[in-house]
Amino acid sequence: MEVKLNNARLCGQKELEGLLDGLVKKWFFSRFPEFSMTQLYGVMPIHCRKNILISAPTGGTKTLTAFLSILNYLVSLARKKELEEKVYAVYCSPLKALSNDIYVNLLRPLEEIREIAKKEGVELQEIRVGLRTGDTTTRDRQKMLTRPPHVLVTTPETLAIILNSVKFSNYFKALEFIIVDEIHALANKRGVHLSLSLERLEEMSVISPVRVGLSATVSPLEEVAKFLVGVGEEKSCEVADVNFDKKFDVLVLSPLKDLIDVRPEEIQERMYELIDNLVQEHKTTLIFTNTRAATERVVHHLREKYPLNYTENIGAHHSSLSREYRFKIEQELREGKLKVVVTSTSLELGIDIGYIDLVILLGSPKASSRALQRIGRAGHKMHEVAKGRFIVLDRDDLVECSVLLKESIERKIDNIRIPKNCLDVLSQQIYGMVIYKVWEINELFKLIKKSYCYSGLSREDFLDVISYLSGEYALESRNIYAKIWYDRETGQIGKRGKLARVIYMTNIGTIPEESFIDVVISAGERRNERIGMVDEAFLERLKPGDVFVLGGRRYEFLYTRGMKAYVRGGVSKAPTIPSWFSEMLPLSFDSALEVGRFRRLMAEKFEKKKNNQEIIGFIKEYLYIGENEAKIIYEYFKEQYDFSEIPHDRRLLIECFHECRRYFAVFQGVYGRKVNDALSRALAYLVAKNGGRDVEIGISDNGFYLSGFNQMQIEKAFNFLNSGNLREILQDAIEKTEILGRRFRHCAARSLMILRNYKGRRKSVGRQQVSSYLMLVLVKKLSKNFPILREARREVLEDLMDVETAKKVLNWIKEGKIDVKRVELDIPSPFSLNLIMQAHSDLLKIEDKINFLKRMHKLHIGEKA
Amino acid sequence: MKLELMNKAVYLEEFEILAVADVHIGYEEALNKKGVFLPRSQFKEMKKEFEEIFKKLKKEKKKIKEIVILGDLKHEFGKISHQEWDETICLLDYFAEKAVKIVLIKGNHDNILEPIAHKRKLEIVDYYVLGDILFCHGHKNLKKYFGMKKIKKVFLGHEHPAVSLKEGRKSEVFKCFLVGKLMGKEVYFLPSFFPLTIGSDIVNSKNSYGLFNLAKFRVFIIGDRVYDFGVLEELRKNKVS
Repeated sequence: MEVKLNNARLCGQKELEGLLDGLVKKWFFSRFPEFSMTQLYGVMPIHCRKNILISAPTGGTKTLTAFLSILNYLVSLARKKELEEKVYAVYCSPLKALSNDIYVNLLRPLEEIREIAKKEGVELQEIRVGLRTGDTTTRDRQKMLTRPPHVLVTTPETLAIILNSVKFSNYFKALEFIIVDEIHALANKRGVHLSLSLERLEEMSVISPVRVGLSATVSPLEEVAKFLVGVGEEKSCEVADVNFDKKFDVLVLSPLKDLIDVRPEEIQERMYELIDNLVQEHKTTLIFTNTRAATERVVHHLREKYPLNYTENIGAHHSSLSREYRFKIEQELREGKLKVVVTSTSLELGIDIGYIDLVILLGSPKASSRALQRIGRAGHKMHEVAKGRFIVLDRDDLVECSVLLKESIERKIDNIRIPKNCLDVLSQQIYGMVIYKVWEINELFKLIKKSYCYSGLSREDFLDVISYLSGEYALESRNIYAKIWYDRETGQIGKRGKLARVIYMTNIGTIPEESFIDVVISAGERRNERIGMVDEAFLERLKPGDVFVLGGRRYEFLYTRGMKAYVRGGVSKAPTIPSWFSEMLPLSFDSALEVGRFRRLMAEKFEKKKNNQEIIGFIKEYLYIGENEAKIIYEYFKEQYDFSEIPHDRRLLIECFHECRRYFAVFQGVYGRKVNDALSRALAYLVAKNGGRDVEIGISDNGFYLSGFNQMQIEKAFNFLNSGNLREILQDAIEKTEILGRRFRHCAARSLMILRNYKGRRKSVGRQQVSSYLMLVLVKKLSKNFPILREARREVLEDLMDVETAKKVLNWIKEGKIDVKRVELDIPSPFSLNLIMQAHSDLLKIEDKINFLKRMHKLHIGEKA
Repeated sequence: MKLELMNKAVYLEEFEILAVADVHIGYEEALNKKGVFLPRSQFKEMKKEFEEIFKKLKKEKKKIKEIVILGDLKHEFGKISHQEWDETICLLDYFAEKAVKIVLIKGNHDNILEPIAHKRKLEIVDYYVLGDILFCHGHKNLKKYFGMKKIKKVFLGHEHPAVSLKEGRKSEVFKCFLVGKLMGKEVYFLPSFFPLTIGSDIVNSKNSYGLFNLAKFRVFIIGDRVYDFGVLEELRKNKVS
């Protein structure tokens, strides 16, 4: 089933003006001189009740575009006193800190329109806006029940809760508009969850609500449009791509002329100098660092090195800081009180943060879409130039950032992928649906299949989820595990248990709960003030008296009580800085291929014996970078070329050598970490199985290595692997891994096998209760095909790794599009050396636990004999 | 004294005693109450393990007169859960088929074990002495017990001993017995019989179980059989990082 997609038409200024109610028109032109490009594309289709996806950069007046038609409609109704007691529009955003944006785009316009009406003596019915998130008070919720808001502003999670409120859902019975904001940030399980809620809204309403999607620069638009409107013969969607307008001024900067023959401290020193210079030259700077740890480090060092420049005017912003703290930083940014804010990824999304004139990217953003999103935070008006500076610290980083810069300038956007057929999210949603009412099974299946994320769901998978929910996998103690009942004869499905509604409402959501501990001040004036969070694993390593940095300030750890860590502020001792796990972003496959292409063009230049001037000239022109940076890249490639040869997108180089008595095989394939993860684990598994011993692997965006075996095995394994058997081999390879256990825990929580809130108890993720390993073992006893276990495997293979793209790469190799070349070396090449140093290493365990014990016993006894 | 470490239990041939510790029946139901809905498999698995032990003893023509349960037979501190009622009674009945006498020692989890014990007319004791041997759970009164002059050997539960073995980046944790000398007495720490968790690693921690210096204790790791790994001190030294 296809969805009809049309390009939206550009509307004329006058034509659009003619659409507006007198009051709205007066208001609009009192604030703006004319309609923005986004409005010229987007307002009319919404007025004509057509679904539309609007893709525009930040600052492109997207939110108001979506609301303008709706406001206009509501005002015209209010003027005629025809406003009904129902919800006309639902606005859903993944951001929790919505209130400011809503004030600017909805409440203030309404207030001002009311003023104008008053002045003109026009009587208007009250148009109500209701904000409903997890933080809304019971009183406000009650108020909404008796007097529904005409526009409901909410998050995906809260929307799912409201859908199950018998009383409130009545107000959705004639819903007219649904707006999904920041839809590009929903290419994940949160989005999958929302896609089903949208279909439920559609099912509840007697009329089909118009769906409006707002997105930053994203690709492919077609996919996102389908995700927005769902599938079905009658579905169609307008697409407005308003991305071409924003101008960029972007540069890649290396702090030094040479990144190799210098001490690391010197690079750091010069980097902070460079940052400080840039910050001082601009009014307000936003620095992106990728990780929370780096965010802390940068704030800390800037304060330390330039105490006069950075006092109260610098702030940190990342997801483990408290909401109050983050809100304060956002507010101060808008008020222009801050000179610089350092953030991990949390300020990528579109909350209004006021005027930023420079964005610094410290470390690669790993995807062109993300680079554009970040740089786009500078220059807050549509037509202003967005100014961005990449600062790089090593040569691979320099190459990667330069390629991302090229892609940003040439608007090559990497493709997002939306997860499909997630059985854990499905379980949660089905549970919600049967709490709402009793369903006929086919009717339920049909509704689910309307979501783009489940359009390919097989009936078997669906029935397996029903089996899980109705407790059929644990026959003996069915009454404990069953969450729903399913009557095969009548085909009806309904909820089970008195607590169903409460359990659902208090455990909804798809974001995995990592165990974080609140950090709280122990004594003094700020006693009991919550500063932020650290994760449990980090806390385990802390001893009383240790000093760490959070929010750019130092605290001394004193003791823990329950889920709180108590600290003392105002410490002058040197800190140990928190490190967070698994935050590293993977390089997108599309950008990785671009790096590979650049490498190929470089290889050709060297092989054709071009002189250095020619090559440096090429680099500067191709990558849009400066002389200094181009020279560094030239030197790097020349070293590699002189050493062996340059690997690229059509030449997979396998460098083999011995180091510290171990054999290494380094695969120089720039495919991004998700693909390399899949390829390396499958290969390592084959090698390990053959040899009966564990194999060490190292994975990076630029390739991977295997270590600890002989070379025959690797050749054999590589020849055996193909796109047909990859998935199966990988499934075996991950079966005993910690990561499968961890992901299973997340999936178990989403499918409500593990409840965060139960009978009034809120508990930590419960590492102490059940290890994820134990959970895996128990569930495998039930069935190797338990649907939630299958989902965990799918998540590891398709979301964490990228098995489908890895298959593509294997096909390219088979078809000869990629040449494989093995070279034996005495020492690693310059490219390999960087790869090994940066790779994230892991051990592929194959050896049976008992065998390991026997071997260790022999070793142990042998040593003593 | 002839003593056999079998699976996670100890057999004393001289007295025809089988001793086990920390069975923790009802662990899964306790998890259910906390909102973790995992399938129940613990009891089946434990029963299978007991069956193997009894089979092996029978084969070796060794009799069992007494089964000594070294505390924490069931898991919940508070009231008795359904699972505990059913499974504890089931296990006790099973033991009654195999031995003449069952000795129930009170553990820290056994606040409310009496109703079940009563139902099967069993007494619950704080400790149990046989000749020069003392059995107890080990969560309290240790100084008092060690002060008893006639006692030469002490069998303890409660600690769930386990050790990790490391080789390069690889590390695995195993349940184990700890056997050593303390205050002139031979001391035996039994691993938890409970199959769902391994226990706490004492190679990488400084845990000394309150008042013991464990360095000189011998480690017996449980795998397909019991493996002697020498003294803990050596394992701690040997750990490769």
